[in-house]
Amino acid sequence: MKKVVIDESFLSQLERLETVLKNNVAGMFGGNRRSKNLGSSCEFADYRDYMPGDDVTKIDWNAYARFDKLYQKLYFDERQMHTRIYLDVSRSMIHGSDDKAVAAIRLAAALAYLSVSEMDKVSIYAIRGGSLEEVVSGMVGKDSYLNCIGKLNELEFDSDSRISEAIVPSSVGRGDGYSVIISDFLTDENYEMAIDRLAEQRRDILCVQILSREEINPQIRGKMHLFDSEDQSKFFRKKIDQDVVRAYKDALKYVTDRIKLYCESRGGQYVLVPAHAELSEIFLDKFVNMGVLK
Amino acid sequence: MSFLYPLGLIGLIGVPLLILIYILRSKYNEQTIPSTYLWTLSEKFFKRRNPLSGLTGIISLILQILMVIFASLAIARPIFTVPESASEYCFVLDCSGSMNTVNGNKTCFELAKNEIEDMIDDARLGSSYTLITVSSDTSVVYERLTDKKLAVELLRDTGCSDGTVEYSDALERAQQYFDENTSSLIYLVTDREYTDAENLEIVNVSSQNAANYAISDASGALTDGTLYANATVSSYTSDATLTVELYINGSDRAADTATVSLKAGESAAVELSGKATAYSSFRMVITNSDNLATDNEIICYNLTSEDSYSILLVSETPLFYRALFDALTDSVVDVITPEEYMGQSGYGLYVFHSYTPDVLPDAAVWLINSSESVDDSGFGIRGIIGLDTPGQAVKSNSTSTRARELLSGVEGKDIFISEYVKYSGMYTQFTTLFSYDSNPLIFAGVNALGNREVVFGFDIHKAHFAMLTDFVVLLSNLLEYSCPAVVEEASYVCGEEMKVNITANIDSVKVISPDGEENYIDTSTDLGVMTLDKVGTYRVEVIATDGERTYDVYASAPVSESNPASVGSGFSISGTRSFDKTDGQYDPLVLLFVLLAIVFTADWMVYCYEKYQLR
Repeated sequence: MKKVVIDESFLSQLERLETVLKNNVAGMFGGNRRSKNLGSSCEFADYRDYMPGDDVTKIDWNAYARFDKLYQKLYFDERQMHTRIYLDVSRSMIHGSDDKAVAAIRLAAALAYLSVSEMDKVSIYAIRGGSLEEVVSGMVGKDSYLNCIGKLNELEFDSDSRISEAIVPSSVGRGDGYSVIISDFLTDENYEMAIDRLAEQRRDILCVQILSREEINPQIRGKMHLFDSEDQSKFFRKKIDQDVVRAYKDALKYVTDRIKLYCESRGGQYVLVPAHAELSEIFLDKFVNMGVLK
Repeated sequence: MSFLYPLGLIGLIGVPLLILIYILRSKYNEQTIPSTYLWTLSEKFFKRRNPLSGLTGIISLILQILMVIFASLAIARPIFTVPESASEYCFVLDCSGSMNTVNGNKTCFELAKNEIEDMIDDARLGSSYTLITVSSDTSVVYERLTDKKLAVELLRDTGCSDGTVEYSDALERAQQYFDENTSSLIYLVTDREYTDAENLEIVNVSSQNAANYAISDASGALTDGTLYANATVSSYTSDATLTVELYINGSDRAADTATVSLKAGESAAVELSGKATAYSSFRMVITNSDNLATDNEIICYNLTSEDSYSILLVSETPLFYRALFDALTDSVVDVITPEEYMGQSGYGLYVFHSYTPDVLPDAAVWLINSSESVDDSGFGIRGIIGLDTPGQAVKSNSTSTRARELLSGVEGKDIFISEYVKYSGMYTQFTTLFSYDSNPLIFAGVNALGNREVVFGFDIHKAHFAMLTDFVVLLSNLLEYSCPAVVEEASYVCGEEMKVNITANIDSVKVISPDGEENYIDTSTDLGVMTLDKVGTYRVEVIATDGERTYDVYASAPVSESNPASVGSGFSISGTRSFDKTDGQYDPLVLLFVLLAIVFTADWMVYCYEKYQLR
């Protein structure tokens, strides 16, 4: 099954975009991301008086000729970011008319490409049960991307997912880029702790909730006995009519609002992505409008 | 609580059956979905939106169970006992002619029946109803009937007469009911205003201002080829100018017309005339329309020369009787001697003087001084008693109708006899007119053959009775009795009894009332009687051995019923009223049907809601 199908024109469009980071960039290695600290990049930042011991190569001689005083030119520092993508591989992602798993993988692949295009490092993790499974680690550069991204196709969506239990104990980095959680968030398991942990570590947080068409606007009616794909002991038995569907939509709104509010309260961002939506629509429209990309 | 049809409760078996069907039918479609998280969460929102959501799943079942229960109960007809709620109703319904007055678009009689029907409908089940109708006579239509439906049906079948109203008998009956149960509710439903009423309630259905005109007391006389018809016309509630027309012999063209102006409550005599050498009938009509039509017309029929009789006198010495018969009657009188008598037939009256036939003829008969008994005569003979000195016959002081009629104009003094026949075993239906020493001398009645019979217990020749005026008068009365006109009177007032003299040769008498109803008068007696309770022409068809005869008589509306604003005197049911009630019943059939309809509608709405998600 070819889950990662991203056409070249879309990728070329992605290359023109750039992720917007809010927190201070604090990577260990030099890269493409301008830090608010001063460093040795080519981008001029400011002047200051020369002090003995400063690098004489950075004295602005033109300024000396004009003001008869030595000034030291200062430059921005640039750091390499580490984008970490957490992918929910629970069974709920592969059930339903629309394949949420495919949409999630494509989304992850696209985000990863975007990051490697910006010379950032990318790691992709699968949330399997209460632990993280490293799918791609420290991927840098497009060559590496092309070599590694195929691993996403090998992911098995066959477990449950406990987001906080998996992310909180893991090494999430500190202030060095985006942490993207891609899930349907259809769980009563606690995900807030994971968001808190990422926020603590000054990570830019992006929660992407993928829902199928049926989950957004259920069409089933009548007497239904619905079983949970992740846990057969969970079921919902009711005569589903318009009132029940209306209540379902209220519940959906409650869940999405709650995630959104929680993310925003922690400085993060949230986006609801229909599984059937086109990637171009998500990236070029939704993400740009939300300010995730520019 | 009891059930009229307990077997109807078998229908309750439907309840467990229905539940079973629901259990078997409630199959849920199974489906695995990505997550039940949202659906489970939706329950909270659903319950918040629909507090009674727990019921919605089984509301249809509940409604259908209720339907089965209500339907079963409706079939089983539960009856609840309601203590001290039922009453005994006694309705006295005025069926007199004035009740035919139109009040609005109904007659007073229809309004009265509606009032009673409403009271019966409103009465608690278990109450009893008595209906007494009153016109010229009183009849109890039903007594202490507890079946509402039957009571109403019989009430609806009750008709109104055109006659007068006589309450005494009805009140006597009502008093009887009251005495038996002093908590009886007695209602007098009438169209008259009554000044006072005690222990009964008067339901007045009258229209006091209804316009009514009447014509009454019609009579006619032929003089010089002209019929002069007289009558009295009245206007009761309003000033009016009345037009009265005269029609003679059934003609469609008015022979004469008169206009009479009257103040309210006034009456006036009116005379109309028309050319006629003879008349069989004339009709006088008020052409103005009013609220009571029955008293706007009156017809007078002429019955003269309807009947004739032939008389056979069997006597050795007929001279005296022959002369009397010739003087007193126009009838043909044949005279033969006893030897010549061979049982001749075809005569209306047989007079046997001092002779006793072997067999009585089947006709009216006089037996004068018969010395022998004869079968079917209705009496036996002990013998002939001679008196040393003439004895005085005593006139009967009987107050019977027949005695009064036959002795009309007879003084009965100074009648002496020297010999008489002593009778034995006399029929009780004979009326003694004269007697001597408690032995009947002259008596009349109906013999065993059903024929009128007059018996003289002495010979005229052996008494000086024949010399007295009384004799002529008595013989005249007896001739009228023995040779009566079948119908003597052609004009009656509604409510009166029409009399038909049943002579020996009459086989049947049929009376056709104005509304076409046919009645036969009993011909086993000598006088047939029928109450005329409708205004209009009654046709009397008599079938006799000598042929058929037809008579028309007219019953006019009683004057007392014509005034819509008449006020009656008080009514009084004596005694002290109590207010006890008996145990009544409550039949919730209507309620059950209403509930059934509501539940059915609700179930249908639930079905439509579920099926089509109607909003």
